[in-house]
Amino acid sequence: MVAALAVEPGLRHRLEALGIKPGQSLKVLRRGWWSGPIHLQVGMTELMLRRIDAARIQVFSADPSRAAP
Amino acid sequence: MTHCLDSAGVVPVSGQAMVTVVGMPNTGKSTLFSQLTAAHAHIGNWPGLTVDLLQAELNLEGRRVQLVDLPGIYDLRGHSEDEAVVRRFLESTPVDLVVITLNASQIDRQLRLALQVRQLGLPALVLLNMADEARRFGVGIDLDELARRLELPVLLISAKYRQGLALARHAITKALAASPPGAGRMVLDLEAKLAAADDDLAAAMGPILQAAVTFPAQWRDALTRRLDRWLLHPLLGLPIFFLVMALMFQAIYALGVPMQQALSALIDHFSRFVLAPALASWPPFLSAFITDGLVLGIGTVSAFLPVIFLFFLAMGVVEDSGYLSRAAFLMDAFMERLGLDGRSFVLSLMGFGCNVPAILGTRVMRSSGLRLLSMLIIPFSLCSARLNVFLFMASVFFTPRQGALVIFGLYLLSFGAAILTALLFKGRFASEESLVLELPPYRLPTLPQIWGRAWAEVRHFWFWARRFILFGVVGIWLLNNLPFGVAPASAQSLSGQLGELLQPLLAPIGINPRLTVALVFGFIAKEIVLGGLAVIYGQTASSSALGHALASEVSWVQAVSFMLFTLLYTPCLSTVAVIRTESKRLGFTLFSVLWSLVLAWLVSFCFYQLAWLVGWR
Ligand SMILES: Nc1nc2c(ncn2[C@@H]2O[C@H](COP(=O)(O)OP(=O)(O)O)[C@@H](O)[C@H]2O)c(=O)[nH]1
Repeated sequence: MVAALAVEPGLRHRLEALGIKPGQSLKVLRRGWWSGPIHLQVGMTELMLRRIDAARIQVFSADPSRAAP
Repeated sequence: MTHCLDSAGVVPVSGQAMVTVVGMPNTGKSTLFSQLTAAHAHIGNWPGLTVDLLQAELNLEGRRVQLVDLPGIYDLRGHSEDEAVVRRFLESTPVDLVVITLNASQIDRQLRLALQVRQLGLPALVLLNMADEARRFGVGIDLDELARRLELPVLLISAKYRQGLALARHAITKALAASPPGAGRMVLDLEAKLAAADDDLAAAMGPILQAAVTFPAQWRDALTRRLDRWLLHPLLGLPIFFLVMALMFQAIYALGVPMQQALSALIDHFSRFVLAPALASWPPFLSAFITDGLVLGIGTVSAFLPVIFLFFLAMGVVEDSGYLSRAAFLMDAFMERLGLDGRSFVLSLMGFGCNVPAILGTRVMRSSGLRLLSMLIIPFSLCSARLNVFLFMASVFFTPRQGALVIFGLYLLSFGAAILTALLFKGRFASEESLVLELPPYRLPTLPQIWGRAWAEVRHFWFWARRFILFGVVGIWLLNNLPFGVAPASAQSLSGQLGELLQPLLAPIGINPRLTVALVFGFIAKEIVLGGLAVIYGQTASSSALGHALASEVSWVQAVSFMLFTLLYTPCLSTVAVIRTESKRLGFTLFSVLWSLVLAWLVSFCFYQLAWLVGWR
């Protein structure tokens, strides 16, 4: 679950339009090699996000076996 | 409507209603636009906007309207260039109807944009595209309920498979019938209107979705998941990617090169057997100008057409299937460190065939910094035309074993130059946007779609590049043949004199005046370097004769220095032409040419002087 977005307004607009907003649950499908991007599923959309950007999304885990990105 | 691409945009046409298409990126807006307009679009030159907008006249049951495709946007309040363009457009152009295009299967998030447009108070209509995917993924939409809650007409269509298009046209006509011609409105206080409603928007979305849409209990696109497991595999993903690229590359050039050769043979025959006899009675200077100068110019431009066509067919498959964004995912870790992203990598690889379509292809990237940086590095990709020159030189100066090593070294240098350039300039052309890319479900590309796109690209190139290239070719032909009566490209010609003049600069890298003239030829296109050398050395009879003449005057160290320079400096006039038209910046184009010349000189200088010190001659 997304708790908060600690990003600059430009990226916040983008992320919200892609469905990443507080209260929304998201699923990490995979991580790229060599600190590559993260593959996420949010609602009906799949997207990739670089780790520096992903790190600014504060999440809390709905499923303890899955670590926060 | 004319097909003339360079006429200034006919914006807006008086007496015709203005209809614009608005939607998020990748919702199929372009597909819809070309289906509705049957590809009669032209690029309008809208005052005050930095990007090209596609515009076409549409005949709707007898009424003529102007249809404009706006860039894909995520959010009307967003901060990207495209989003600013759309805002400026809506504020400055009277619009009669906004066609909001949404991806039906992603209506859970895309509905927001429809609500924003409604907030502006513009007459609007919602087209839910990709009905086929929504059905496949189990997203059910109650159209009547949605239309009632949005207070807008809502239609379900599939642009790619041409479903629901007739109904969509009819709905547009009906919506327009309500407004008399000239009733179009611009939006006043756009920012304020949107800002006021932002919080309500989020609150309004939930109930609408709940009432009108049913989502599948779990993710239904098993095919995409299964394919991704292999194609994005941590270990196998990259090898598969390189294999795919290699196959694509092979296919393009296995087909493209013979087509290219056939085309130039055809033009050559025409020039020799039709044009030359017809011009026999003309003064020799003029007839040579036409047969060698002009025809060569046209030949140079048209030689690119088959490769561009095939390239965009292949690119269409990679892009439409959804693999391009997977490639971006795979290469991103590496490219991020160079200030680029995975898509630039795909394009640079394609540049090893021909730089021109690769640069045209940078249009898939929306961030201008990223595009410019990609355009800066693509010309260092060792294209097939340069490879020809190197194969010839290697065969003249080296044994086959050594020659293979030299060529391999040139490929390494090609990568090195691109990486160095990216590292040096990533600060100046920083990508201003964070990379957030959608990974769409895999889709089967359809032939009409990729065919139409490739065809449009060819026309686009032909139109924009031919003038520029013709000028260049004719200019250089004049350099080689003026003053009147000199032997072409000889020491007395203007270019010969230029070669002498440049000696202080080029002697330290081992380039003699004759080789300088060859480099001048190479500026037009590397395809004509060998032909140019043959003229310069007066050895047009056979390539082995040319080889002997070259080897007797030039040492192998000089030859390598020449190859290094040829690899790194401006690939060809066509590349310069497309950089100019794609970047729309003269300054950037000059910078790109200059940087490649400087880098070429520096590398050749280091090599030649070191070789000299070591005692290689
Ligand atoms: N399955 C499906 N795919 C579509 C449909 N319309 C467009 N596409 C595909 O969606 C992708 C994005 O389309 P495009 O027109 O480039 O989107 P744009 O970015 O909004 O202009 C392309 O690969 C299209 O082939 C449709 O109705 N159904």
